[in-house]
Amino acid sequence: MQDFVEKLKGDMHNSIDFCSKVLEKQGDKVFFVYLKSITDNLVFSQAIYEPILEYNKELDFETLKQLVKSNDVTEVDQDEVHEKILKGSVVVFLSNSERFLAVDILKFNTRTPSEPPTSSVIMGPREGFTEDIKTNISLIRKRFYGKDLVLENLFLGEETNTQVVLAYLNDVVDKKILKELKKRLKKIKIDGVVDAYYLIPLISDRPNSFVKQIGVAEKPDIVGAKILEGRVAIIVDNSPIVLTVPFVFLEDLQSSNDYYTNYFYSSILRLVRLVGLFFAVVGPGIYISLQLFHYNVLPIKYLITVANSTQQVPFTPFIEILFITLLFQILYEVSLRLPSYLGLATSIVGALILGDTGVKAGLISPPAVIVVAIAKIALYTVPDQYSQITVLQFVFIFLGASLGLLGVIGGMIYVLAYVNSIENFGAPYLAPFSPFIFSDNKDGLLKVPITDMKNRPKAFKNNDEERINVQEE
Amino acid sequence: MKRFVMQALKTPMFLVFIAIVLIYGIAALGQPAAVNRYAIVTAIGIDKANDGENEIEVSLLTFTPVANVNYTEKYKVVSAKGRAVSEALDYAGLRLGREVGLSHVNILVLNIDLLDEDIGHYLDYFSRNKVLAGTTKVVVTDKSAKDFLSVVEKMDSDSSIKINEVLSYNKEYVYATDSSLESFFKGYFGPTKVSLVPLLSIIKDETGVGVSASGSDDSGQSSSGSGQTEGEIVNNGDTLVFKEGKRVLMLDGLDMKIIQLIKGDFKTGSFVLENYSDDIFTNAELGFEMLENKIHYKVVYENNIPIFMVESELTMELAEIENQGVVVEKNVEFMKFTDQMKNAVILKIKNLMAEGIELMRDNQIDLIDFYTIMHNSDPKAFSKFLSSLENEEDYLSQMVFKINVNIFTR
Amino acid sequence: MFKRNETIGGWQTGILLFVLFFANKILVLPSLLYDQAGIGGIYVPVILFLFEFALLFLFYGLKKKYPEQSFGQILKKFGKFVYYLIFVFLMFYFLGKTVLLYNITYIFFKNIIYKDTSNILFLFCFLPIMIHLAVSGLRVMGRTMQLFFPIILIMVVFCIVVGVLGIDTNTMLFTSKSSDVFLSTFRHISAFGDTIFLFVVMDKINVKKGEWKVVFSLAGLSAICVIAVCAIFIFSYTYTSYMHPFALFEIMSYVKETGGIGRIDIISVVVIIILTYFHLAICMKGFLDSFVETFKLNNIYGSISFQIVFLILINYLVLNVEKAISYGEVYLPYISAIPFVIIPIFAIISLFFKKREGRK
Repeated sequence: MQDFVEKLKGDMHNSIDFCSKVLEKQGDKVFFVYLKSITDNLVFSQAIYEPILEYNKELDFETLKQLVKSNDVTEVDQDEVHEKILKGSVVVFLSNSERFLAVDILKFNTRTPSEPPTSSVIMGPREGFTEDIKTNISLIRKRFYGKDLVLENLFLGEETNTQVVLAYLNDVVDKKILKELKKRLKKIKIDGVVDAYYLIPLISDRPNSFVKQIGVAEKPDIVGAKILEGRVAIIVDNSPIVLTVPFVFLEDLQSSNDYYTNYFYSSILRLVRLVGLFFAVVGPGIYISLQLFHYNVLPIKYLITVANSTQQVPFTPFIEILFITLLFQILYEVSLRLPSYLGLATSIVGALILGDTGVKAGLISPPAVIVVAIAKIALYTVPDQYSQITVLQFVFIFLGASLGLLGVIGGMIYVLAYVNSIENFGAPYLAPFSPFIFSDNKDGLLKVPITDMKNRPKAFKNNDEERINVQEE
Repeated sequence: MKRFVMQALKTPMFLVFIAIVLIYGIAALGQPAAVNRYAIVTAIGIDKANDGENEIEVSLLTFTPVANVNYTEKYKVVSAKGRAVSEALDYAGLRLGREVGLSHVNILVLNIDLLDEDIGHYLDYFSRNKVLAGTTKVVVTDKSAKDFLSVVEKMDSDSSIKINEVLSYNKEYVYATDSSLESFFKGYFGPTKVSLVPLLSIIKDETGVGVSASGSDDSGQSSSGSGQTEGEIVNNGDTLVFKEGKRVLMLDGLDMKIIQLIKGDFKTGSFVLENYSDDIFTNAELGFEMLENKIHYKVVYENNIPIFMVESELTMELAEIENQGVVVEKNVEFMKFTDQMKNAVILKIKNLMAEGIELMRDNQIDLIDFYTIMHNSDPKAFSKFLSSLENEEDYLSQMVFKINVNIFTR
Repeated sequence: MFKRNETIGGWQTGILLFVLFFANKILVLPSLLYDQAGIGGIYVPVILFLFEFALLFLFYGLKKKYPEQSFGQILKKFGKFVYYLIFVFLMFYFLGKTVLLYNITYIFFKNIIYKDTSNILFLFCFLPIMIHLAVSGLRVMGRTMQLFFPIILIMVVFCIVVGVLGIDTNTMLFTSKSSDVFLSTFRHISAFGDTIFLFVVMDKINVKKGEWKVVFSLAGLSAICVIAVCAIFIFSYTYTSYMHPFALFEIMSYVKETGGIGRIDIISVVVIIILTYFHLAICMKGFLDSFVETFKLNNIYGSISFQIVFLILINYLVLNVEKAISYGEVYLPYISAIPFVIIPIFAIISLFFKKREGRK
């Protein structure tokens, strides 16, 4: 058995956190093998080591099992020992026995669930997922006290062997979707899954597309709502992001805040988001196309304002817009990476340089700054689509400058036609707008009270359409 | 890298986008704003050139951008001569150093000297130009169009009231007329061939420096009127009547008021009844506010003669009583629009309408478009009536008019 | 497992018909109708829409009889000669329509919103989008149109309402002769007959039982909108129609100063742009499907290349709207015999064909 311990140590490449202890009892040896970086030392001492140390009679495997003060004890074979050690168990075995006992004492530091920055609400749950899968599973499980929630386990990544859990409602989810998802997950051959985002291109219908095709959530109440609609949640260890499939674009227009406030107000907010999204994508493109090609459709007062403002600007309108857009993008990147105590300095520099000094120096014009600033701010009405909208902003700026209004509208038609051709796990991307699904539009751009949302979404298949059955007296 | 290139080649739209960016995007980098490539013209004036040659002088009121964050409107007048409007505009473009952009033109001013000919010829260019809107106002001025634009230049640059607003406001009043390019040509090509164009006068006091003389033997010589002319544009309600593009008559404000009363084109405005006497007043002048005017037409034929019935329903309000030399007790009765007053007003309006009809008959101008009304009511009977006339254009004198006026008070 | 289905349902078919009926009749057509038939020009769209609806009813009948079959399969029963002849004619029909519509809208955009830009820019704008929509399939085209439909409808209704404000009620009526009306009907028959596209994609249309009402309602709505635009134009610009060649744009120009919000005729420009893109894509799809049906080509890009080359060549031959319209008025009416004479004949025979087999 000593040789076995040496072999285990050699397999771990003599890692510094590999720990082996030997206890001599009545002429027999008890071996303890574990990784001290991911095990609870206190539990090891009190629940495993000390009871065995204090036992003075002859020790056999059955007695060993009784001595260990833990309810997570399993007997394993020799070839499972390695895996158990890596998963945070301490493996206990006797020198005269071929049997091994694994006791799970996994422990590592995690943060407490807190509100994610991009999904804050005025009123409503503020819990967010953490990097610990067990915590995440418990956050979901506590929302489903019924028996139909299924949690299925699988492991991905040849080096990381990351735990991935699929969560769904057994009587609601469409079995074809589930089967297809499992098929795609099983096909994955990757060295490691560090975060849930690694899985996105591997399970998407069109991995090379810039369009988001898998739902992403940071809060358990959002994931719970999506599971209730018949989706499958994919929880990945070490990731605070939970993926959901199938995904439709409407999910990003909705916010959890919409469900914790008055439905009328929520409808207005969704319309505002849509307007914000529209302006963010095509606003700068339309501005530049009107300036370069279509001065004759502008009212005279607007022309006067823009003409006066741009007289002293040395750049052409296209260069000016590109310059300001790039400047905003640089500011954004800087604000992400800068330490927080320098953030104030960056805001002042950004505001002063762009808003004040640049205009006064005549390098940029106020209308251009306003248009780009509003477009950049409007991006955050739909924060989950930030990356796609940023790409499209640049595309439409180029189209507006090159081809004018025809190019911008043509680009819109092309982009919408392109996203219309995407179907994730059978769900049309722009459902329920196209194809128009009347019942799904009750929770679409406009929101009706929950009592009127009687059925589950029809954008993708599920096995149980009815959600609410209000008994009328 | 190779795989990326192969992937891109398989996506045709990506290649198209790259082609667009390379071909047009690079050119767009150096393209200035349209405002800097075109001269924004807000008013056009046409005069006859004074040099004796058969040329016209076109003046343009162009907007000049001023490097300023605040809202500032600055204009300048530029003139050019040419044998036709299009040629003159080309030369004006040369003078400005930019292409002339006509999409924001609000007003088209014609010098009264042009009216001896068919002005449709001068306006023909603008009728075919797709950019110029049909709502562009057409006016005639008694001074030169260039001076008119100089006054407008000052008006639009300095004051908060713009010429466009003045003209739009005027058209709401009973003594003015809507005179857009569209309405001019509608009358020009219509069955009556009659168009109306307002006449605006300038009361001016020239003080500006730098007003360079325009005049050259070469065609195409252009000049710029950089000095602003002090003056005021006055609208007395005078309207010129054109038949087949030629001036035939000038109507003053009162004549236009009468025409509008018969036309039923509702305009607000005032109406004065002079020398009114009754139990309370003697030779008083009563002022009324006209609130609404509904006109109904009916045509019946008797012995192949059309009897044109005009029924007018006017809603009026007594606004003012000017009664000098008589002390009147002020009471509720005093404020009332009495039946006696109504009858007096009705009589006056009927007489005015009759005068208006006589005016039209005498000059053979159909300002109300009776022709269309009669045709629509009974095309066959009207056609028969016309064919019975010696001169088909003189149908007004053979018609019988019956006028009925009702006054309602508020 | 999730194989893409290329069919479209009732709503999308109705929206397709709305676009087909409306898109190419709102620019130069009303002006031409007035020039040739005077006030009676209003009757021309009414007469021709009756033919369109007759075609639509025939399509409905055929779809009921042959729910799964394509038009090609139905035509094959008349022999290969008829089958190839009709599809070759359909190819040229859609090509001609593409060229006519492209040139008319090119002239419109060049005059109104683009000034000094070259022809190539318009090809760059239109061709990629047309190709993408046509190649992506009917389902994608239908869904994209469905997405734009509320915007188009609201804007069209807005344009019509605004146009009504500019109507001059004092217009001379009863001035047209019936011969002028019928001559104008024949000359402009090429602007109609778009229902034929449904025959070409017959097997891809899957209208459920209660959805035919929607199809006919949307088609009727489109017809009403076209007739409204024609009527508003003719009543607004009596005697001056030559000054206003682009109807939907012009009926808004009259009130553009209202409310101080600037040029509201930009709304009509946006509507025309969107509708033109879709209609050109539909014409290209019609050509593609006819081409593929005729030559049995699997390579779709080969058939697109043919249309692109043809379009580019034609543009260098037909570069002004007068020429485009004169070709359209001279040659296309004869080619338009296809949708209005030949195909209905075969469609009617096909409707009775099965009955005879049944009796046997």
